[in-house]
Amino acid sequence: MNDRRDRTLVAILGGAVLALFALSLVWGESAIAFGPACADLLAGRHSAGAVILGELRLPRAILAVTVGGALGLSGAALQGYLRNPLADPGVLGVSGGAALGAVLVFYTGLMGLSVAMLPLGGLAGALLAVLLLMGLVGQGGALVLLLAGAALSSFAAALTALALNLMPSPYASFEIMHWVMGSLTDRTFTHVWISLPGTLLGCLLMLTTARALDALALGDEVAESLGFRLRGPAGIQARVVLGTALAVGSCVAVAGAIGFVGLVIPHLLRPLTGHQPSRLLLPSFLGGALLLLVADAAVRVLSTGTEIQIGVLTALAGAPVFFFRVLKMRRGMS
Amino acid sequence: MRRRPALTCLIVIGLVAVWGGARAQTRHRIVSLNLCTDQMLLLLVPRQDIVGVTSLAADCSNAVMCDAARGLPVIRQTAEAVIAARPDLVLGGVYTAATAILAARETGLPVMQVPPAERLDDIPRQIREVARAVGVPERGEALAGAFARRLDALRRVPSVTDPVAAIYGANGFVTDKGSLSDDVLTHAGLRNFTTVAGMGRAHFLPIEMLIARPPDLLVVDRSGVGTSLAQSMLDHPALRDAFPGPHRVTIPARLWLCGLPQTLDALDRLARARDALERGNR
Repeated sequence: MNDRRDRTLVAILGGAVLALFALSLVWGESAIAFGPACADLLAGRHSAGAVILGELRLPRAILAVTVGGALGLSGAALQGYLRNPLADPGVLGVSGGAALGAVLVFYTGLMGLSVAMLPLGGLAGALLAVLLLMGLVGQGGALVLLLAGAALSSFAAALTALALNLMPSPYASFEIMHWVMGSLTDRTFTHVWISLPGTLLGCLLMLTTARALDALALGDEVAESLGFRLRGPAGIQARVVLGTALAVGSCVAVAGAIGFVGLVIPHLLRPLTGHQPSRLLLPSFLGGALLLLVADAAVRVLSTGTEIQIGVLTALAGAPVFFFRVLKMRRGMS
Repeated sequence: MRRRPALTCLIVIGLVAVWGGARAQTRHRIVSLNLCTDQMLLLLVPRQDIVGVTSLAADCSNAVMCDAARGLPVIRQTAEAVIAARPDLVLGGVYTAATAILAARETGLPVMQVPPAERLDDIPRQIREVARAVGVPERGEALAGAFARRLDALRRVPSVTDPVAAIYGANGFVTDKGSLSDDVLTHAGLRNFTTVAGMGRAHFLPIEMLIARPPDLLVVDRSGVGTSLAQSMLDHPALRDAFPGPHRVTIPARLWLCGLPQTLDALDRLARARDALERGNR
């Protein structure tokens, strides 16, 4: 899956992720002396700088990388598996399902049992959404898939809004934006720890499908004749479905449904990876991480009063790509 | 046997005449359309004289007298519900249930609107006013007097060297001056962060900004029921580590949401927190 031809691309993307990760630690809403803050943090002193660096900026930067990466990779894997360049966890309603699951756990106090309930709720919602989607679409084409996705995501958003309206907390109904748009504000290391296992496992599962996705690009029969199992518990479908649900469910549970990352990143990187699904996976992870780090930095620059949700920025970047793809599809049809 | 009701009647008439002389008429069907007047009523009159309170009155995260309010009839804040309750006095706030209050006025019902208390000194005055309106001026006088005495015992003389405190609530809301909680801070010998930090008109402060310019005391203002992102922000570990031990105090919002005798419990807690802070510095 890691082709020699992609080394430069992966190195450039990886370098940019590292640089922006460092930048998001150094630079934020307030000016802190970075050197002394680092020293305090390592010595375990709770100075203002150390607290800001270690407990506010660090978890936020880590989540930008893992959430962005997982969303980018999920987009690439879904697009490869469904052979549809418009597939994306947000567009298909997987993120929406995850958000609904997380909302039901978070606001009803189920989270009081254990913090691990939150990613589990997200996972359950995401899994339900993917299974529903696959069942709805069956052997239908691209149009059926997108229609089912649109229906599923608006249905999930409506149920999320309803659930929030019914919750006892007077603040709940104002928090719909966090869940349908996504945000990384005020995340803690607890959020990092509860989302990391699912995210890593899901990403690894998706990465194992690389060569099978290449074969699938040539058609189901070709893939099966090459020895790749499509169905069954260890088949490609199961791995893509479970991988996406694990990664997206864990990420949405802590950051809300940040959209369009999985759509825009594979689209931009596809020409650079020879239009080969397997070579797209790792660069998409890095690209997604990069996009969220940039978007999170932009949130901090642009926000004056209340903070802009990070999903607003990714949607602003992603929607034009979506329009472009739609126009291209129309030309292809006529 | 027959004379007894007549005697009671005579006594009642006599009492009404006495109170009438003091321009106070005892009310027995009182409706309250505001959380603060709900609690004021509970302090002043017997339960059976209250025919309607708001649904918030029995909610312990908002009302300090929630236990006493359990079982009282809850009235909807509509004109129809208020008039159908046939009250002999309608109490309300200035900003809420405007239509119901207007309708009550138009049908000729006695209405009293009580503005939110903005200073501690407003509280005994409001207690006296409401007590007079419901016809128990002596009870009001006693409560107001007790309030004034306790306030005098608790209050500190403000000084420019007082420690700085920020009242921090859900969503990063910082309470500005001109509010009851700000006046409680001042009486506890604390200076409000918003008057010192020069943060302009910003009402919401991100955690990072608060930690970068930390006040001496973080007053966590907890309100509302249930779980929410807005509330969970106050439990962020960064706040816990940046404001350890004596630098942090939690005041339940119900203590100073309304101006009540219990508001002095908030003053007491803040004054103690301030003393602990001074001891820590020495």
